[in-house]
Amino acid sequence: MKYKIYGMLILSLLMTACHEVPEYQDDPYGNFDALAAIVSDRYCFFEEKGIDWDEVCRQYRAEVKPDTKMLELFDICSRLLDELQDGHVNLSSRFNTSYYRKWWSDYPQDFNLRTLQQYYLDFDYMQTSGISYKMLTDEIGYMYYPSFSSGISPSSLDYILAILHESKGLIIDIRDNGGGMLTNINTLVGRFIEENATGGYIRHKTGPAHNAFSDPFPIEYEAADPDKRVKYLGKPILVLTNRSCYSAANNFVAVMKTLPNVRIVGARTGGGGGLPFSSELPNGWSVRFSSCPISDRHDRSTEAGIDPSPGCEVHCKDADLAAGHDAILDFAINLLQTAG
Amino acid sequence: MKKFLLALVLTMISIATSHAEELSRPVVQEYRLEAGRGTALSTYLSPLTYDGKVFGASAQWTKASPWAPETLIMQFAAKANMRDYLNPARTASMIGIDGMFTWGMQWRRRLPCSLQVTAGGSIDVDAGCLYLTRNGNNPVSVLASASLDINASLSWRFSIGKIPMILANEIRIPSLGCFFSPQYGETYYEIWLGNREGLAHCGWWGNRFCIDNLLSLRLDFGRTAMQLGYRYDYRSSWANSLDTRLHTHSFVIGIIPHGLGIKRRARINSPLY
Repeated sequence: MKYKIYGMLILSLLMTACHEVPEYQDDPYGNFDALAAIVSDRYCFFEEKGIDWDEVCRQYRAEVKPDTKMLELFDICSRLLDELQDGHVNLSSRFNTSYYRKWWSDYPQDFNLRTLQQYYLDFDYMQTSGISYKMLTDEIGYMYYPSFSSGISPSSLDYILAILHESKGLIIDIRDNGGGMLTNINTLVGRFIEENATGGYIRHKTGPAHNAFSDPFPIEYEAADPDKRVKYLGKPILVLTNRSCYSAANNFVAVMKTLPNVRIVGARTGGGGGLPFSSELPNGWSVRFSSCPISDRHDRSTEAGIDPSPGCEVHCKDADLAAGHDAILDFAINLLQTAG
Repeated sequence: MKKFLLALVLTMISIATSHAEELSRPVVQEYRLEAGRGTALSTYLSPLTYDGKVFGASAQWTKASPWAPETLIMQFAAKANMRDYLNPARTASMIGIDGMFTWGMQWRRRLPCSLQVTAGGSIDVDAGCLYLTRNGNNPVSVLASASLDINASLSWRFSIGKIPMILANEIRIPSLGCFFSPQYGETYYEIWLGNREGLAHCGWWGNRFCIDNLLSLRLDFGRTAMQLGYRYDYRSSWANSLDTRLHTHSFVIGIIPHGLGIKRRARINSPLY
């Protein structure tokens, strides 16, 4: 009897190591169900967006048939993912990549690169580390950073800020910046803060439940050493935004908005406050989705975007942009000129 | 008095003779190349089980201990693997690299019919990673652990023609230890930011079960020996709702410099027989 008890005890302990990993067939239902399960287990904004994922999946699964062709299945799965209304969600196959575009396509663009380059920069500007820059007037420094995917070299940033150092105000234009590497935020922000600062918080899923999240973990930004790096402190900084500022650009705006000498000018950003994870389906398609929510310094969600500073919401009419007038940049220049 | 002196001299001669007959304890060095196939599942990276090729190199140094050469043997082993997997649809690749070191001691018992059995424990340290090239913020699953292992072997010495051989099965099962696992949905960016909570886990058979079994045949040619074998390596862990499972079946070919000493009829205390 004693041995039986020991045996059962050992067996029960060993059984804890045996976990069923769900397996899905590589057929229309199997692939759909795999996608539904992956997103259900790992997507992070169900509660914030009020999405009943199981119900949504039931509706779309009804469209799947045993003989559903690959293109049809891709379309069904893409529309299913569009229900998340999230620009960080993509389904990728060898023939297509799905993409929810309404987060920016339903809003004015408020930016035209040609207008900027022709009428404000006169096609005459300096460029390094993915940043275009020049002194717009004797008093206003300007830098345009279109993608956080471009790595910023600290020494290049030293040159940029040294050249713009004589300005009495700085414009950082990140319109149409769709994001990239979060580490570039640290490189930039460190030049505009005197002391280390908490710029936001990050969470992660701790399990498949829709509300299973870790405690918020602070994202600390390290102030650059003034003895080693060129900094831009004590002067007004304006960050220009439009709806196409997304993901890392959205995070950058959230951080900069909390600094005392910084104002956000333009339109509400596009959001993208969830760090995306990747996974895949049995047929080899890959899926990307928001998994780790990033909040601002007050632990408010940034998924829906960041508003401009009070009194600084400005939009550009397409006709004006075509005529060479960038209302957001004009507003910013005027703000800096009248500031002092 | 004469009898006493005679007994004393005889005793001293006996002691001197026994010292003179103490057998040398050579280190048996084994260097192996391994090639095979395997599967890998890391639900941190993907819910799919990948499969593909695994290549490895391993070395093992074994010696009878100086304290109790007849009953205790010491062993140090090192191993490195390279893994190259594809997903079931053959649209994505996962590569892996890992290394392992173990040091242990085993009690041994020589049995009739040229059999030898060993049992003991060892300490092992493992480190490596799986890298899924298509993933963005979750591209790597780190494999790292340190544990106390149980190991055992059964070997049989025999000859075919003029070639002495040792057929052996060696098994190692990590039991207690610790291992690394990221949180369920945690990115390495967050770990880089400093959130290291819940990454280290106490490992035991309930959440980390591994087995390394080598069935091999050693052929002694005199100045050198050869080893042919089959290795089954299984590693699994379950932590933070994440599953990791690696199965590997490998063909093993190895060389043992200086041979096993059987063919040369060397008077040695070999740890292998």
